[in-house]
Amino acid sequence: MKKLLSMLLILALAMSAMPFALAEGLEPLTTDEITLRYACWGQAEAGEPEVLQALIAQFEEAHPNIHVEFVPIDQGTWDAGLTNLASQGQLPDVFWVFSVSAAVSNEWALDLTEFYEKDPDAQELYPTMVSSSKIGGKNYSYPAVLFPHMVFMNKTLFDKYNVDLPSTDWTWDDYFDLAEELSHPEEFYFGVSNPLYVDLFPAAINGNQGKFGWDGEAYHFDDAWVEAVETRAEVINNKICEWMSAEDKEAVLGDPGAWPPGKGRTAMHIDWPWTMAMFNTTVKEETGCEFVYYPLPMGEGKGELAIVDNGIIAASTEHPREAWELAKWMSWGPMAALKRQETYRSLGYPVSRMPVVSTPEVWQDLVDNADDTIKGFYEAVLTRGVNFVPSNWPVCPGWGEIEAYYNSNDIDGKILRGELSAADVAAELEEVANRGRDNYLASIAE
Amino acid sequence: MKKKRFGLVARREMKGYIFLLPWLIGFVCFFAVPLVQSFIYSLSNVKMTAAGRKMSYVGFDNFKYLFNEDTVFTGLLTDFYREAILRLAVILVFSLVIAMMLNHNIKGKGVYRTIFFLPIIVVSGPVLQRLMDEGATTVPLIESYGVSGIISELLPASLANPLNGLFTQLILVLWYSGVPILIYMAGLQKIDRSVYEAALIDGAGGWVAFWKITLPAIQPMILINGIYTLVFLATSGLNSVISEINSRMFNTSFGGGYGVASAMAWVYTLTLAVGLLVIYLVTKPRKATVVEVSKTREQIRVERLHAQRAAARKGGAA
Repeated sequence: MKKLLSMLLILALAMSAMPFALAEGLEPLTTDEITLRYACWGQAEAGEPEVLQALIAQFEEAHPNIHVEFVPIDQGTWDAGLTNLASQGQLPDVFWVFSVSAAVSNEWALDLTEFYEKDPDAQELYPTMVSSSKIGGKNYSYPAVLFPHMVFMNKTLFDKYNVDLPSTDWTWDDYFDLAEELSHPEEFYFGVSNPLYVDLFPAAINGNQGKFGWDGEAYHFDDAWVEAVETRAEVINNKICEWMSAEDKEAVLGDPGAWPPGKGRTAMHIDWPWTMAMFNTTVKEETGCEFVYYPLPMGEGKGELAIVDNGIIAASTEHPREAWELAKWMSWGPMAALKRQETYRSLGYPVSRMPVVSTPEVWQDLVDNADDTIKGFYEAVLTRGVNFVPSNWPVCPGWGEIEAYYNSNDIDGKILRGELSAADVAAELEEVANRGRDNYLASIAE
Repeated sequence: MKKKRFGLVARREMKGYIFLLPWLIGFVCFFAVPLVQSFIYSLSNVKMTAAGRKMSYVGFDNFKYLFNEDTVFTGLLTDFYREAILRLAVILVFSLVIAMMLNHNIKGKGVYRTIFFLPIIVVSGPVLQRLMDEGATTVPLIESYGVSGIISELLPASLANPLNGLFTQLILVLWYSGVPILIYMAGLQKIDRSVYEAALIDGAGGWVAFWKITLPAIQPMILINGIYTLVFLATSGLNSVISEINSRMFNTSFGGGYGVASAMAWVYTLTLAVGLLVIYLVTKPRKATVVEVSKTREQIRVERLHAQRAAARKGGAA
């Protein structure tokens, strides 16, 4: 009996230790003196050089035997610069890429699947960041920074038409109801602008899908896509969405090339954090409009598509384990996000690049230090349980083929003009997209 | 042993070759080698991997891919040539008109010449792109009066699109006319004024003089301008075919890589060669033909009179 009891105890201990063993399965870091080479873009932007130096210093302080060397590459010719380095066998150990699928095809990227499975910190990433970034079932990239879609609420227009601002915990139905209420096309004021529903609806409705319904394995042109493209056509044709012609812009705004959202003509404009500074200064001064920044309305899938910059670890690196650690400390890891936010604050700049992890402390740090115009946005991210879905086009296998087919056949335009039914063309598009995926996967398998 | 000495001609030739040498070295290093290399690439699958360059021979697969599977390149190529034909015609005619105007003795001729040539010097690729983005290359009236809409309604899309493209970038096209204007002017200045005076005496007006004297005289310039303009349009930084080739070099995930990009470059070059041949055949100077002109009554009368006088002088002398 005693023997059985002791065996049961050992078994229980082993079972309880199993998750720990799996999570802590990463091999230890080297104690040798090594140098890792790192490259990322954005160094011409205010605050980014300081953030880079702060992140390197933080990493080197935590890992005194690892020296980090930054490799400057011109952002305008990024691919050419990397290709030149590759041809000389000089790729950095860790670097950002515009197209992960191209990097994989070029045999630049190390398979990171095992790191994701074994590193407990990777559990902090929004789950779709990992699941929808698979190529042939493997993860070759890591998400570096996030640019969420935001709704720029023109408070002045809400006041003008006596409409109350909604709660930040709003839905797409609320958004379209408000859009209709706020649209006054006869005065050239519109409810919405930048109708990116084709990008946004698959995540909002299905939760784990990016544009064209990519879920990490296949493309889906399902009801979410049909609803998105039809809604787009509807709001434009009903003049709820700003779609002014050059003639109208010239007549109303005095310039055929004017941008109506920047002239205060839209109540709810979808844009990204990098435009906030312009709205807070130039647009506000020119139009006298006040803006408040909202999260995207919530769909039943609770997913929100966000623009994500991606990085990879070079297949040629001699220190893959240390390179993974560097990637984490420089970009996606919670400590990297906190350091980035702290550095921006110390410089007096707004945080334009947001974290790719759901770690509450990281988002709480943003809430605690935000001004009133954006506090609601951060609070909503924290409280609504949003799942950020990464912009999938840099990763999706065969993306180029479906994008070229979609654009060259002017699918959105034809549906907008009523020349094509979305439901009729969906199956064909899905077939083209998945054929492109198959072609790509076959090409990298060769 | 007798020392071999070079003759004067040989020494002069050698000097010539020495002057040519830097260009020849440059040609071999920066043109001939990449040319051959790009042809080899076009027959290969090329990858710049993390471990260096990987190449495997694939025959004409890259070319077959371009024509059988690629959804972008052939479309871009067709669009380019449609637009190029229209632009070529506009540039050749516009620059000839301006050159003829500048060839007259007008005040401030030098200033006008400078103005028309200035865009060539000032407007580089990125500046042009910026101007285009700002809408500076379009004619506002065309947008305001819905000319584009009328064209789209009246013509099939295959013709309406390049025509609208031409109108929306009309100012840009006119900016490209700087060099052709200079070339035309060089040709116009070589025409002997006395030919026009003779034509004037014979009763020819300006219209007839243009068709019978000016145009035949500057035909070699039309050929040069045609070739120059097509090459200029084809190699412009704003050319979408060139941009596509550039982007495909690095993007191996969508029918790309150096192999396919090189095949694209070769197809583009060969189609350009055909285009240049067509321009040559259409605009090459024709051989001058001797035209038998029937004599007027006046000429016959004068000739008879001369003959009679000559005969009378002969008779008197005898």
